[in-house]
Amino acid sequence: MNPKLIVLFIAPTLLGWLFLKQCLSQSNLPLKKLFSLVFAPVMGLAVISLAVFIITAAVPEQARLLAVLTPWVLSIVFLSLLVSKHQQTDLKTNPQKSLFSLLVVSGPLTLGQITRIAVNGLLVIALILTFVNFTHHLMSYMTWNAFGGWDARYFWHLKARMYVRDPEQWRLLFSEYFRWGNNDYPLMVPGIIAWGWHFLGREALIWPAIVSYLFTYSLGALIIWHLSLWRSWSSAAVAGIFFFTLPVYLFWGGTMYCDIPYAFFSNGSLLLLLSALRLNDRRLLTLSAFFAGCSAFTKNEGLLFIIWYLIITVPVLLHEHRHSRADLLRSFTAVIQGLFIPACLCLYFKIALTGGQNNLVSKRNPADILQALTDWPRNRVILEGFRVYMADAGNWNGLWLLLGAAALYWPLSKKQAPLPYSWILLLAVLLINLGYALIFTITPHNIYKHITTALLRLLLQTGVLALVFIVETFGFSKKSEPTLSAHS
Amino acid sequence: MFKKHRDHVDFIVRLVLHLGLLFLALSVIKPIKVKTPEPLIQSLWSTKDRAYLPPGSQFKIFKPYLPAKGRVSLILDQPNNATTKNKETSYDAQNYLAPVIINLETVEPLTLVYCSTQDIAEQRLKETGYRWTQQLSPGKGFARKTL
Repeated sequence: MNPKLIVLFIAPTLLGWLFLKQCLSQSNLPLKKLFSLVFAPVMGLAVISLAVFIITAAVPEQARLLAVLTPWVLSIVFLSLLVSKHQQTDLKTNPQKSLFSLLVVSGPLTLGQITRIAVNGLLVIALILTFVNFTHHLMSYMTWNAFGGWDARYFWHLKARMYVRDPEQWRLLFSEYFRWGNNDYPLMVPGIIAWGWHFLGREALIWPAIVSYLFTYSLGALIIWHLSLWRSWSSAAVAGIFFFTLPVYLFWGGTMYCDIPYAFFSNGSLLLLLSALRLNDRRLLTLSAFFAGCSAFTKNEGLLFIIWYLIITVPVLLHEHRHSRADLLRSFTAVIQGLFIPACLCLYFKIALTGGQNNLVSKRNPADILQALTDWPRNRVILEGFRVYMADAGNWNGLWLLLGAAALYWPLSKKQAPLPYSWILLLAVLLINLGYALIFTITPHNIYKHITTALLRLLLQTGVLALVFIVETFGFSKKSEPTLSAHS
Repeated sequence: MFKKHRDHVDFIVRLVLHLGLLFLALSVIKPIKVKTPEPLIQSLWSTKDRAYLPPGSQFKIFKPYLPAKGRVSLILDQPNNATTKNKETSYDAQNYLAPVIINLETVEPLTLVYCSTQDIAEQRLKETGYRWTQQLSPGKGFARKTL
């Protein structure tokens, strides 16, 4: 094994850990050290990609050297910020449980507690085995398919090659000659791949595979983290086991497309938003907005996602802080802070580099749009497409059917084990897919080709939100987990 | 009484969902059967990729003669957009030869010719208005725009 690969893993993990530690320093998120550790690699990679983009745009002639130094320099910056903050803050104001406190049980155990520990232990073992199985299949698939699928080879990796092979004229990537390569697609994943290739000094095939693996694993980790926080370990483990057996994530993770990184950022943004609202934590709100911004720098769909994100967030914040204008202002500032850097980079990318090109929503005049919206046979095809792809058990294993059941059961669940704002998940799934349905409606392209090439991947982007909603609705709360004493 | 009954029903519904998810997961989990060949794994982890042939590597013959940057066209047996296979070959060429830009339209002063036979190459040059400047092998080489 090339020892540089170890450094390639350590550098973004260190940076991501310091970045999250800095972001969450004033947050009251439980077990934030565990959160920072689990998501450190991908967060580090995201920060590196944003930095590589700025460097290549600003000083292309020095891009190689600066890109390699980026994670170390940024790590030093975040470390100094943390040290200076550590000296100023009284740590007692923000007590945190130690990671080891999870393993410590005080006092004698009751029969119920013993059962709960046994059930959770078995589920955690099953989760680990499923995860190992998933990892093996994903790695095996990527070994056979080392160049990735069509989009990976011709869009994402090509962009990374242009970054790496000639940073001084990488802007050619946005010229008309690359129109076929969807050159208005943003650069989060190409930037990550380019950084790794710069560091290794070669375009190693394993690096895009590792990146894809890290994002796929992190998407599963998001589910487990969120549900263990808001439901229970047993529900989180069951949801994790279900996720790590879903064929759709295994397949698209292996193709190295950007849909999984995009799903990580957009779904992560909404899950962090839920935690921010439930804990009334502005630090989490900033991080949630940063995730939303990163989603727009990963795929064009992210621009649409930011609109949905604001449509959901703004009214909720207005309602939440209706009695305090100062709190409302602080919350909006937190959202703007999080969005600021990735959104500015997106705007620069869209306006200055791609000249306002837009391959997401086709430019059509109002008359054409009206005609398309009332083209019922075509709309029926789109609805039928959604029905067929959602019902495909080979990919989804009944996930969308369960979402329907959860939506019906949700009003009752709300009374039994209430979790505020869980409706946001259902609303987001509906809005995001409604947006895609509208794009399908107005696109001038062949609808059958469009649906067969894109719809499954678009559904994949909301699958995790659907699964979290299902388990939030049907899950056991920490108090109601099954024990022999409580329900025998 | 009613509340207790509702609690039990709710508990059972939740338990059924958990068992259902586990059952569904078990029903699709694939046992580890396929063993990935060791040379492929070693090749990847060494980062040297010797076990893999990069797509577009057939265009290696052009590399020594190409400038570091600039634009060229590409002539294949059929127009570049004629079939998915042709598109794939053109895109592979772009991936392999980047940062030199492959213009998919045959309009650049210089073009790469990559045809399967000399006869097809001559025919395609005539159709697109180019003539040979350097032949590297039968049907393959560089040509310049004449029109």
